[in-house]
Amino acid sequence: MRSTPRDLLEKLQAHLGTIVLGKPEQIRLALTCLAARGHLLLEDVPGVGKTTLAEGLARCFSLSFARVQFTADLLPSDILGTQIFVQSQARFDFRPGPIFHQVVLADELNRAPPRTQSALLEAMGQGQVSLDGVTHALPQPFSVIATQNPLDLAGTYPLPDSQLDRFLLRLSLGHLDPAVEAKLLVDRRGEPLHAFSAMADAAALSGLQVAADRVQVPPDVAAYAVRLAAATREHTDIERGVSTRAVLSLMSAARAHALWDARDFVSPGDVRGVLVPALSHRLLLRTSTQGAFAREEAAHLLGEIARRVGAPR
Amino acid sequence: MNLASRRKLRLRLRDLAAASAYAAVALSGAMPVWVSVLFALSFIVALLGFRPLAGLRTGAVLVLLALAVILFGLAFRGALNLVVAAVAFASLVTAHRMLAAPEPATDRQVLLASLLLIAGAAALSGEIWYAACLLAFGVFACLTLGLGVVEGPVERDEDLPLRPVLRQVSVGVALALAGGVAFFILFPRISWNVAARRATPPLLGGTTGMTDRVRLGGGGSIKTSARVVARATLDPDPGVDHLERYWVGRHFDTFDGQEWRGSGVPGAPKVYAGLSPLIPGTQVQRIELLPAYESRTLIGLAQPLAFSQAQALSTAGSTTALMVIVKGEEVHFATPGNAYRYVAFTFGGDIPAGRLDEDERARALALPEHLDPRVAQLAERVAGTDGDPRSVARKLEGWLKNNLGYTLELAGEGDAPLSHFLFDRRAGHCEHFATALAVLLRTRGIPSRVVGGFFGGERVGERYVVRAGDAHAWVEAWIDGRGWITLDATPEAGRSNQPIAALARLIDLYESLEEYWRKRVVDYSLIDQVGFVRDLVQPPRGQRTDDAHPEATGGTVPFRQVLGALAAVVLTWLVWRGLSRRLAQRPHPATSFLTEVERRLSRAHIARQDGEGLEELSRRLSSRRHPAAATLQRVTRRYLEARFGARPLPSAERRALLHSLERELSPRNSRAQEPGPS
Repeated sequence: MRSTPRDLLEKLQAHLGTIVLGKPEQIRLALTCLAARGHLLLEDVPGVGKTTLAEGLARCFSLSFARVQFTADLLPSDILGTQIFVQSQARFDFRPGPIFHQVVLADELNRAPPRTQSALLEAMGQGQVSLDGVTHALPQPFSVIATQNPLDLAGTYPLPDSQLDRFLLRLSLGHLDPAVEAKLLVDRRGEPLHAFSAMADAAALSGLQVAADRVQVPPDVAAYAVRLAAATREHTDIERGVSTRAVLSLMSAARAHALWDARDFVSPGDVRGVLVPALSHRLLLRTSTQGAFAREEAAHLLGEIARRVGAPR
Repeated sequence: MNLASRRKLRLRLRDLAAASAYAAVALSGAMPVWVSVLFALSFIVALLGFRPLAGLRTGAVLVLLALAVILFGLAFRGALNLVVAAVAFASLVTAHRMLAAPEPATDRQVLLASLLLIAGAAALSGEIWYAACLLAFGVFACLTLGLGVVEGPVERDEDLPLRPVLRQVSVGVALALAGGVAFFILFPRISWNVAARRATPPLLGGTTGMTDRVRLGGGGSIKTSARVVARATLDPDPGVDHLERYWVGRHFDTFDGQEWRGSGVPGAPKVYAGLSPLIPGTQVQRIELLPAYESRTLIGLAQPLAFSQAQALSTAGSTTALMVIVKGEEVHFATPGNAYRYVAFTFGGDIPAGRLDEDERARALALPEHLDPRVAQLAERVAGTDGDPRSVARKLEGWLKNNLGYTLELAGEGDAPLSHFLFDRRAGHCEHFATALAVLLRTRGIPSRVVGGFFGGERVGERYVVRAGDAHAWVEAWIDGRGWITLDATPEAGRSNQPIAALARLIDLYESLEEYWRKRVVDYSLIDQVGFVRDLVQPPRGQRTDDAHPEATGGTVPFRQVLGALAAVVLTWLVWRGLSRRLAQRPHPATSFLTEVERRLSRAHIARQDGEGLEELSRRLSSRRHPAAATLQRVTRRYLEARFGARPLPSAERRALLHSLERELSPRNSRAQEPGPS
C-alpha cells in the first residue's frame, strides 16, 4: 500500500529526529523545502548539526550526496567538473564535479569568491551545467543545501541578493535545549549517520514533489500572499520588499506545507507557516545590520506584518 | 438572536402585515362588524403567540366552510355586496391562516391572503389612509419575507446579527417601494377612479353646526374645531388664501324667545334645485360635503341660485342624489349618503328683488311672546328717526357690533337669553348676535331671518376647505326693491373658526396630503401619464411666473421634472453601486462558521495570541495537549476545507461540529489545562 504524502513526511520527520535532536520544526521545514523542489540555506554557527541535517536528508531518501567545503581558493571547476584529455582515445572527456549529485551540501558558501558562488548558483537555477558548449543535465531530484556562518563574516564574500533569492527557504537551527543537549551527551556513541538508514527513495521524493504541485491555491489565499508581499514593500523599516519571484517561492513552499496537513489546497496558515523562512533572506532592511541580526530583524518585521495583514476569513 | 426569538419576530411582523391589510379593508367601513371582531380576536390571539388551529385540520376547514356559507347566504339575500362578501371571506381566511401552525407555507398563505385584502380594499375605497395601510403592509410583508429567507441558511443554535440583517432587508424594502412607485408612474393605466368613488361614515362622528334649530344657550365649543366638513373648487377662482364669504345653509324665520326654527314646506325630490333664475356671471362651486359634515343640508356661497349634478357617496359607491327644496328654509338631499358632491351656482351680489308673499312677510316680522320691552326701546333708540329700512338695518348691525362683546363663555342665561345677552352679560356668540339683530329689525318692522351656515374657507391646493369651526349664524333682512340682504352683527373676530393652531396645522397637513393623494394617485390616469411624458419631452413655451400655487403650475414645469429625473438616475446609480459593492463583499458561508467557532473559544476563555489564526491556535493547543485540541483540529480542518477547499459544510455537520466543540470546551472538561499565551 502506498503511503500518503503526509504519512511519509511524518515518518521521515521522526526518522530524522533521531539524528537531529530537538529540532522537529526545522526538520519539517527542510522536508517541506525538498518537497517544493527548493534549495535550502542554513545559517548558523558551526557545530549545531547543519551537516548532519543535510546528509540525513540525502540519506533518508537514498539520494546521492556530495559535500563541498567552500574556501577562498575554490574554483568553479572544483564544483562543476573538468574536461580531461584522454590520451588513449585522443579526445577530451568530461569528468563531473561534486555538483553531479542529487543533494549537494555547499558548506560555508560565502567563503568562496563570487565566480565560484555564481557557478554553483547558476547550476541551481538551471538544473544543468554548461561547459565548453556542452550542456550536462544534473541528476534529478536535485537540491543544494548551503550553509553560512552568520557571525564570522571576516574574509567572506556575502551573497548578493539576487543569489540569495535562489534559496527557497532559509533556516537556522540554533542551539539545543539544555535537556536535549544533556540527553545527547548520554546517548550519543560514535557517528549517528553511520547507522542512519534510508526510509524512502528518489521516486518517493518525486512523488512528494508532484503531490505538492497538485496542491491548489485558492484565490483568497493568493490575494492574501500578495497583500503580505505588498506590506513588505510598504513597510517603513524595509528598504526593499520582496519580489514577485519571492511571492512565487512563498506560495510553492506553502503548497508543500499543505501536504503536512494532507490538504489539496493552501490555507492562510500554510502561508504564515513558511512566511519567515521563505522571505526573511529576501528583504533588504533599512538598518545596516548584517548576518544573524538582520535575519532576526527581518523575521521580527515579517511576524509583525503577518499579525497586521488580515487573513481571509 | 436565536431561532426562537427570530421566529417570534417574523410571526409578529407577518401578523402585523395581515392586520395592516385588514385595517385597509376595515377602514372602508364596509366590513360586517362580526368579521372585524373575529379578525381582531384572531390577531390578538396570534400576537400573544397562541396558534389554536395548529393541530386541527378538518375542524378548522369546517369552520371556514361554515363562515363561507354564511357570507354567501348574506350576499345571496342581498344583505352584503358581493365584493364585500369576497373580501370578508379573504379576511377570515387570513385570520384562519394566522392561527395555523407557523410554517413557511403558512406565512406565504397569510401574506397572499393579505394581498387579496389589499386588492379588495383598493376596490372598496381610495382614501389616503388606504395608502398608509398599503405602505405598512408592504413594509411588514417585506420584512417578514426577508427574515424568512435569512432563516434558511442560518442554524438553530446560531446567533443572527439582527441589525445588519434588518439593515439589508430594509434596503430591499426601500427598493421594492421605490420600484412600486416607479411602476405606478410608468405603467400605463386607466384611472383608478373609473369605478365609482366611495365614501365611508366619519370615524369620529359628525361635527357639524348645521342643525334643525338654533337654540340660544348652546355651548360654543364648535368654534375651536378644525375638522374639515366641506371642500369646494371655485370657478372663477378668487385666488385668495382666506375666503371672506358666507356659505348659506338654512334659514330660520320663527323665534319663540328660546330657539329659532324653520317653517318651510318640503317640495318634491328633484335632480336640479333651482332657487332663482340663473344670472350671467354666476360663480360655479364644485362642493364636496365630507362625512364629517353629517347633515343633508346643501350649502352654497351667498346667495345660491341653484344646485345640480349632485351625487351621494356611500360605502357601496356613488349614486345620483335627489334634492328637496324646502321653500324659504333650505335645500337638502333626499338620497342617503355619507358624503355628497354637487355643483352650486351663486350670484355674487344681492339677488334682484323678487316679491315677498304675505305669509313669508308675516313670519319674518313675527316677534316672540313676552318679549322684553327693553328690546324695542333699544331698537328705537339706536334707529332714531331714520325711516330708510336699509340704513336702520346698518345702524342696528353697527351698534351691536360696536357695543357688545364676543365670548364663548356662556353661563346662567336663564329663561330670557336674548335680554340676558343684550342687557346683562353684553357678550355672546354669533347666534346671540344674529338673534338680537333679527329681533331688533323685526321690532322696527323690517322682515328678517336668521341664516345658519359657514363663514370663511381656507385655501389648500386649488381648493377651499370649510371647517366645522367655521359654522356661523347671521341675518338676512328684506329690503323692498333689493330683496334679502346679508347683515352680520357678529364682530369679525368671532366669525370664522378659532382652532388650536397646532391642531389646525396638522389638519392642514393632512388636507394637503389628501389633496396630493387624490390628484396624483387616485385620479392619476393615462392622460396624466401622457401629459407627464409630453411635458418632459417638449417644454411649453411660456412659463408662468407666479409660483404661489405649485399645484397649478406643476404640470407645466418640465425643468423641475428633468432635474428630478436626473436626481433619480444619480440616486439609482449610487444605490446600485453601493449594493453591488456590498454584494461583492458578501462573506463566505464558512466565515460565519469560523465566527461561531471563535465565539465559543472566547466564551471558554481560550486566549488567542496577537494575529494567531485558527490553524496556529489549533496546533498550539495540540502541542499542549489541551482536551479540546483534537476536536478543534477537526473543526479547523473542516473550516479550511469549506472555506478554501471545495467541500462545502452541510448544516447538519456544522451543527454537530459546533456541538462537539462546545461540549469539549465546557468548563468541566477544560479544568485547569487552559493554556495562556506563551
